Amino acid sequence: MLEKGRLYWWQLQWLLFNTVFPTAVMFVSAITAQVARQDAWIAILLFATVFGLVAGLVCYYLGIRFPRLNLVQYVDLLVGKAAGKVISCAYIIFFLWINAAIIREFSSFLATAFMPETPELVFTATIMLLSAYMVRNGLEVMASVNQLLVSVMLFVFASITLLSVNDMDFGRLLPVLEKGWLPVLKASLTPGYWRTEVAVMLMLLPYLKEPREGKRAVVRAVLILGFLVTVDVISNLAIFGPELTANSTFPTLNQIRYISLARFLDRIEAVVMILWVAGILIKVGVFYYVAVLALAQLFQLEDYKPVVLPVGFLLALLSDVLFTGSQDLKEFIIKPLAVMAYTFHLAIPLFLLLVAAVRRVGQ
Amino acid sequence: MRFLSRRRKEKTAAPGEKLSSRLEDNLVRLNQRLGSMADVVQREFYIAGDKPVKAFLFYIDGLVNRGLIDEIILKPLMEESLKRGRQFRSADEIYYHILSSTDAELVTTWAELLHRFLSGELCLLIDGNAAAIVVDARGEQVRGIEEPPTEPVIRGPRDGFTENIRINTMMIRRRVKSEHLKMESFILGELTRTEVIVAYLANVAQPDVVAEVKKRLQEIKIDGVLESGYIEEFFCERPFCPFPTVLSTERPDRVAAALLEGRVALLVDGTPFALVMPVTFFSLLQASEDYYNNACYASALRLIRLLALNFSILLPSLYIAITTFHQEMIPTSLVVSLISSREGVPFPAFVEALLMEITFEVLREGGVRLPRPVGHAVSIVGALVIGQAAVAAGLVSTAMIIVVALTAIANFVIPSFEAATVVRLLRFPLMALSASLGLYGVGLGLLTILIYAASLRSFGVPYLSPMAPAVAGELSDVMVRRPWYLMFFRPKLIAGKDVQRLEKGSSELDRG
Repeated sequence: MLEKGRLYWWQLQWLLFNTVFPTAVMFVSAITAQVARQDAWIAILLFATVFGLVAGLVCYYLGIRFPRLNLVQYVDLLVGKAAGKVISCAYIIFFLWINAAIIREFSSFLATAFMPETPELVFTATIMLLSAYMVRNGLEVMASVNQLLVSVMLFVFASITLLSVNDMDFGRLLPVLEKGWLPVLKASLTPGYWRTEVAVMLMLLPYLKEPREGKRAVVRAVLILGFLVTVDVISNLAIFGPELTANSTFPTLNQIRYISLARFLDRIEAVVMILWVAGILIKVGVFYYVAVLALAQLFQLEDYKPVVLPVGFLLALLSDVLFTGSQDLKEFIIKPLAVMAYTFHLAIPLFLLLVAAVRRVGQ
Repeated sequence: MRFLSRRRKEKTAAPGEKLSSRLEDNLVRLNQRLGSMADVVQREFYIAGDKPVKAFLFYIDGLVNRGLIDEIILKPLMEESLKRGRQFRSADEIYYHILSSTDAELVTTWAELLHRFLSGELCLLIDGNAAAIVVDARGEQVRGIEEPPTEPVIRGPRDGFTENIRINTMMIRRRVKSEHLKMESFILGELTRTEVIVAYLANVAQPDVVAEVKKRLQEIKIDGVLESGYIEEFFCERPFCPFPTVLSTERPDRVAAALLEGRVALLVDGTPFALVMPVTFFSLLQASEDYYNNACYASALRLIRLLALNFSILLPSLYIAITTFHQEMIPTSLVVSLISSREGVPFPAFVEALLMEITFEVLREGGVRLPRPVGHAVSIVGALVIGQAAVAAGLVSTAMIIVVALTAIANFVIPSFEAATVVRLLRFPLMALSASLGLYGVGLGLLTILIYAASLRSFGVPYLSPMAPAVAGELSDVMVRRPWYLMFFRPKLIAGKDVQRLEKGSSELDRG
């Protein structure tokens, strides 16, 4: 087996958490509020959680039929060699594509919000080098690093929320369900696919010490995400109202900029930015890792390490080439990426699960 | 030890070459081998009796207790036969009837004899016997037991290890009087033949860790071992790893505590520094005193230490990043005084910080290296140069002085010298990163360090455990210190089978 590391279920839980959280907390509330207005939080709390749970459970029940095998390994058993290879290839391309988008989001965010004079390439190159280093060190190291980071991230997230309570006016969340459920449901498609990113579990489940605990890990990850992202959206809406939230690029960042404690803790967004970079590192790392692992398994390499750097290089390149600018990126995130995500996170696993059930493959 | 020393011996003498029964032959051989050794004492004498037997005594001067020789060898040999009216001539007889020393042995090979001789034992050759008697009458001068200068405590035992391994083993044995405390001896170093002892509690320590330590020790083929630092580097998991993956300590109580937790200790003859393994990064931030002081107080100290660790690694780079890139973070009133203090300083913050940090490192190294009487002069000059003149001359700002001073003092808070050294080193690359990329650079640097540290293992134990991977129930003895009446378990990743250390219901407080 290529990966010898073994994770505890709570390590997987937090890994899945950070696979979704960093970008979700920065981008989701604006995108959701554009359609659902002040009801964005309902979309995120209810529907997105349902999407996430469905995707997570489908992936779990699919994976658990093949103990100690991951998607690339068992898809051949399900649909035959040729089709299996095609699906594996498609997944690899998808993982690379979504990762390129994440990296580009990251670089353009830093370049627009913090260091406008620094070329985006600097951010892309540094984060790629760092995550390549992490991926080379394997899954266990990634999980350990993530665990330390998560504790700090949660602490800081709680502090930020508490510190900005003063500026919140929950009247801005009214009226609830002004235009009925339809816009809310429509708006939930974006945060919904964000949540389905927990489907990377397809590749990670076999590396649990006890794969059966993967269910607990994924369900808890989705629920924690639902709670925290909802808190984030509610505080954005309560501070800025639906109009401002929908029109600003990074509402959460604005919220942090708003914080001023005793005229001493001022403009702490640069410190929070470090943590956000750390979260993105994990997110990029996870997608990077599953792509590299899948690639190595597809070509039956003995070790995935030799492909780490080339794939990293490719990712950096793709993130630059695939999107012409931040507007293009935003459009890609809202529409095509959503379609891709639902296909690869939900539809294909569901199809494979059905095939497995009908053909009685696996346990 | 047996295994090792036997293999070594084959190199120093032909395998199993026996002593001759004629004393003359033996003396010729001996002269060939031990010529030009001014510190050897040789004494020829006759064992008393009606037909006196010639005997030859030799030992290394200074390593042997002279009074003891007269008492247990010369006197009995020259008088006992007369008293008993019987001639003793065989080595066996002398060994069993005359020698009044507990630690004596008969050896028959040259290799063994020379080895015993060189390690300071007394050797006796008797004419007509193909065996020599070696007596351990060692009496070399040793330093007394003193308080360890590198790890002082306010509360706790004051004795520290010495350079003599026997005294050191005694200090451990006196603390842990258990049959399970095993001490296995190894001889390391082709030329120095240094004794190294692996100590562990057989019922607590993980057998594979013990085996791994022994395996790695046996693999070391080196000419000499003068300090435990030689061995420490062989235990590194990676080339050029700056983090200490074993703990070195001068305190016997610390070693005893480590043994009780299931760790393995390594004592090296000739140095007061013992090694303890496996260790995790967070255990390097703990002092032995933590476990003697009140739990609340010790917990507060641990948090302070964590803070100090962050200060000492981050402060200069944060200063650079904030003053260069993120001035908006500084409160307005502070920014005014900062600007006025930096007014007239000709360097950018990075150069200023680098200048002062390097100056401090130089002063610090000078303070260690200089002879004691000159030390005071250095500290005065240092204080003046850093504190006064640099600011007065407009080379650096006062704020920078505060940063450097705080960084330096915070560094001394870290209990393990090795861990403190890593932090000292790592702050320089962080400063460079912060000067080029601001807080983003600092973040990148920290993450790199974090990934590196997370990928380390000390004898199979993840270096950042029990924080990452988190071990349930053990976080309460990392950031804070659990009170003793709730310290039910040993660290799970370190102790093997026997994890329970305190019986439930040992105190009123947990029965409640």
